[in-house]
Amino acid sequence: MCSHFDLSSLSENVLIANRGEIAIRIARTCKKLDLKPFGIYSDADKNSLHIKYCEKAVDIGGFTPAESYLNMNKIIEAANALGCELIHPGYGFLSENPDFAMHCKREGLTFIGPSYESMSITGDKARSRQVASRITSIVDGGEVSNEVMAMDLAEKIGFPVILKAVQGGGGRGLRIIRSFEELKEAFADSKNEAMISFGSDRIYIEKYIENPRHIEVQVLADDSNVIHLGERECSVQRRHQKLIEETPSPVLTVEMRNSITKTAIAIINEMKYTNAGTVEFLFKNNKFYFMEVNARIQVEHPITEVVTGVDIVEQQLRIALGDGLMIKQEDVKSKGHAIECRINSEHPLSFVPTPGTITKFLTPELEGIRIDTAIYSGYSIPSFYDSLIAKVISSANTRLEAIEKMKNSLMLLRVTGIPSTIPFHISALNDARFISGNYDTSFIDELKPFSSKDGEMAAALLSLLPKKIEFLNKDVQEMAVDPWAISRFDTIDLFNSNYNINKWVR
Amino acid sequence: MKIKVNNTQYDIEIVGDKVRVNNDDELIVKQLNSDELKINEKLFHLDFTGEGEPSIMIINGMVYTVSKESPIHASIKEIKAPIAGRIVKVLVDAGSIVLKDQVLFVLEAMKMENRLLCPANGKKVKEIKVVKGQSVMTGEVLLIFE
Repeated sequence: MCSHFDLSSLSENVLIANRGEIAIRIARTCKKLDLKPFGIYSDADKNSLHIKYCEKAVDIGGFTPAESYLNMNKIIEAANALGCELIHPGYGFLSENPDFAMHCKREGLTFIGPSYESMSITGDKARSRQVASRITSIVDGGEVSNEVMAMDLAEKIGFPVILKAVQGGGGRGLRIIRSFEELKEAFADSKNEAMISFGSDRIYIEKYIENPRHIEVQVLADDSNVIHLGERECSVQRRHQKLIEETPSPVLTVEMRNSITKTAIAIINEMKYTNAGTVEFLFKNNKFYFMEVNARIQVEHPITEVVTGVDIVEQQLRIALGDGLMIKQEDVKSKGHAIECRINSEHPLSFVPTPGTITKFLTPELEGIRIDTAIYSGYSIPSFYDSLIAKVISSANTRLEAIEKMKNSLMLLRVTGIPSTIPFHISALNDARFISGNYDTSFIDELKPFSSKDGEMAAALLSLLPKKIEFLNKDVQEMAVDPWAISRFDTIDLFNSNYNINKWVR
Repeated sequence: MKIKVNNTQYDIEIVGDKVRVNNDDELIVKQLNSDELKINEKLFHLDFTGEGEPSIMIINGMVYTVSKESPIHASIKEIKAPIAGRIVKVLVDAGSIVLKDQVLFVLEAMKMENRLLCPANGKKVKEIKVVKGQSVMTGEVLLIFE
């Protein structure tokens, strides 16, 4: 779509200040555009696959994010050492930190993202609410500096309310408050937590909308134009973290879609925002409420890419290089439906993150399936970073076909040796609410594990492994079974379990 | 063997290369690897086994809870022949106290000598139901504990 401009005359080196699948994703587009991707890695990431996708990567040391991927000085040093003029921050880490953007600018480096000024607005929930309120509905609420103010505001807007850090993001540090007593108890804690997590103790309160849908609009902007690439439905969440995203949203009518995308563009214009961004909304009773602008490429960007054919990272790079947007709104034609399932190394029922070594990683070769990942057989997942290990993206002409394709690929995908959220996804994709498209952020509360009857039989037999049934179909000479292992189960009393398998922990 | 999967009880009997479930269906089971099984030609792959009671298993992308009481707590009352064969040695007498992993019988089956071990410590043998040289069927009771 964007081949009419030639970047090959440029010799820019791009430093990818990130790790894992997103670093690989960015490196791919860099190579496509004849830009050279360079990388960094921490001591915990010496065996990371993203290193192999870079021309060269430097060890910036450290294990924790603070020691490594959040350390601005080390990253700037690496950029200078590698002769990189551009820095792509990916998502998370420093991607939405205006100080980092400023730091890059001062060092003469091009930060691939919005300007310091725009990021100062998007990173401040109170300011971005204020700007957005000039354009659209926002949820009642505001910043509060002390407990008395908080109590007054809560009384005015009515419980339940939600406490958020002004500088927060990513669904972390949210508290739902249902009474004055709870508010009194939580206020000081929230302030402290915000200070520790985000380096600022500013807090704001807003009316808590129970069980909304979460719908966001992907935008691309240069100095003179803003376009949108449609919306993404992100209501399947646990603990305010997304697990499944799809586009288009199964709930929006054409009118609603026009309205929400128009609003998103107006907000982006009002913020004088450039580069790729996402405008997030809550949707309840056919009404939208602005939530926030995410000033980064998002984890779930691939679903938009597969339906529109637009390489969002390419647009980010072109905008940052000053070439501007290569596509107009009328060029964007969405086709079909796409779904993303985030595979995390987490216990499939409790969602407890579980690092470990992946003994086998086998991906199915299926048409219409894209897998963005940085894992491989033998890879040890470090415990210092987030638990996302792969993103499976399915696309098809219709939503139901995309669901079927996703189910098939997840049943064939093998991630062995660690627990993963694959069973969660298969259960969700088989849930009547998901299939009908009628779901909201409370989806997971009523979700039941889905499994098959013949799989139960397989579980029973496989639970007798390794030695218990290995004589089956083996050559007689090889048979070396400890027979006791078989007979000992014969007299076992029925075990009564009170383990609640029928519910996912939120 | 009685195993509870997702709160459903399965009674599994292994007879040669066939598996009988709940005294009813007979399945043809082929083990391809330590983590792959074919049941009636349908492939199942095991990706993860989580410790615990019940333990969890991820098979073909789906999660199962599996309960079997640990042998330490199991009330084991008898020893049965795991496979059809011939008793070539009887190594205990009625009335004796046996220790965990002590060899009780040697059973010859499919040209192999299999040692049948005691499952737990301090078990007292009440009765021995077979004699040396006797042929036994799968599941036949060989010994009863007190």
